[in-house]
Amino acid sequence: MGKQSVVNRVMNKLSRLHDNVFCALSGSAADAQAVADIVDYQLDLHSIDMGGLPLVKAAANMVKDISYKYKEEMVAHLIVAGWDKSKGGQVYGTLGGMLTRQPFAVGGSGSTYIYGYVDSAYKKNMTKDDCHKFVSNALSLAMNRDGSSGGVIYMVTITDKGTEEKVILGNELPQFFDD
Amino acid sequence: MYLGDDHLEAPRGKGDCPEDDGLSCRPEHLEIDFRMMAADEDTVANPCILGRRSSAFCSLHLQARRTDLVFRREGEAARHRQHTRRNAMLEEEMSSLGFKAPKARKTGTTIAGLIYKDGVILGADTRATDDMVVADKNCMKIHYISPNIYCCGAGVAADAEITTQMMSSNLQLHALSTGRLPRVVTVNRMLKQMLFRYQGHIGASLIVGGVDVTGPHLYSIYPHGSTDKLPYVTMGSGSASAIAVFEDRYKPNMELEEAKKLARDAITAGIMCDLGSGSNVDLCIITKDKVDILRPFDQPGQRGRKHGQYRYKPGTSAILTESVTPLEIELVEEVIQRMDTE
Repeated sequence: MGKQSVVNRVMNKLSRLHDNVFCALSGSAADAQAVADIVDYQLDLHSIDMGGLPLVKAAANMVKDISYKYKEEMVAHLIVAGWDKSKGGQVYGTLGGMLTRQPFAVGGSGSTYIYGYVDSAYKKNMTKDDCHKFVSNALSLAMNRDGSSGGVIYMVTITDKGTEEKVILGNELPQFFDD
Repeated sequence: MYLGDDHLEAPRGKGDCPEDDGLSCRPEHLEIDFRMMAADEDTVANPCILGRRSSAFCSLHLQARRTDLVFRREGEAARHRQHTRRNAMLEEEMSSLGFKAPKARKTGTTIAGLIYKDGVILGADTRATDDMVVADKNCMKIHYISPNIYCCGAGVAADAEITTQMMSSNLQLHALSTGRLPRVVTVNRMLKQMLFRYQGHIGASLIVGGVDVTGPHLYSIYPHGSTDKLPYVTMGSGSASAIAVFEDRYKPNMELEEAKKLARDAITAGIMCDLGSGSNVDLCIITKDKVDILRPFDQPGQRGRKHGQYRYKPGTSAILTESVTPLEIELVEEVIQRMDTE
């Protein structure tokens, strides 16, 4: 087993696919970055062809196509989320090359520790602040338990008004029982 | 032939050979032409391996006493850059003769980069090792990419070398096509797309730093093609020691002297605490106006002065008895061969 070390403790795992669509990366950094770059490019062309902002479903579909085609060679899971005029805010999972629309999605090595929390804490039609709390709590709990997760939290909020990026530093993280 | 995938075990090759176009078929191990042909000896196999290097063709002449394996490949090097077929065939032939294929040179390295007030500083150690022997005490690990961008290379020596040279060439063409000074983000994009395409088989771990119209930038690039954009990075087997120094003392917008000292200390930590790194500290300081290559910047690897006298004075051991036996040597045969010294 090779030496393991943290090579980047502030990696931004939220990649912009378009102004109104972002994706969250997990798995192999190289594979995930490569897929996100390819879809960024394809979506750019697509939105020019269509003359406007792309549908979130279109972006997720492109990610899904690559993930499915190279399923055997790649180890990456991208969660695609954004806002568009037809269906409003959407979240799509693309695990294993399957496209599923979900109210919320979690992924990565730390996600196993927070399934219980997200299932119990999620409520339909939460306000923006409630959602921020939900996300930062969930991530904070996962970061506490998972050895491969940690550092800071990057959060992107996408609405009809635009996109907002936020960073929650280590000392501002929500605190839970930690002995 | 490099099979490892641990990018922290960073190899570095023996020196920067300017004529090395990467197409040499002569394995580095076999610098000497060991022709072991003894006319009278009845040995099973006396292979003689002779390699010649040329950019136009690559030919390898293998000759065994009992079995004659002569094969020549001409013109192939010009047609395809991959030696995978040749390597596979070589391994087969050589193992049948009882020879092991030479391993790709795998050595230790400490490389680091940081962004300071006016630009970027790249640092590297200068040791190249061959297993546990130092092959080159002063090799250059900081490579030129473009006048405003330089790159430190760790990983498989040949891969890092060739990759940076290819990037330099492609970047120059790109700059001619765009009519603009090249940008660091471009090198990053080109490198990551190439390394991802080769799925990690090109074992090059690189730190790319430079100053372009948008400011100073620093990227670290891993063999599988993932990249990180950070204000300070380290790579190589000594990276853990070096990053510790950075994490302790790095501040944004440092002055030049403070930044140079920090880079020197980080590389020195690698030199002292990692067996694979050593010798001198090289620094490369890139600002928007100029590039300074300080080679060597510092030499922490000086041999320490001995504090005691370890030689015993003659007479320390008492001689109890002495007996001298002259050896009779008989001259059997004398052969004189004249050298043509005209």
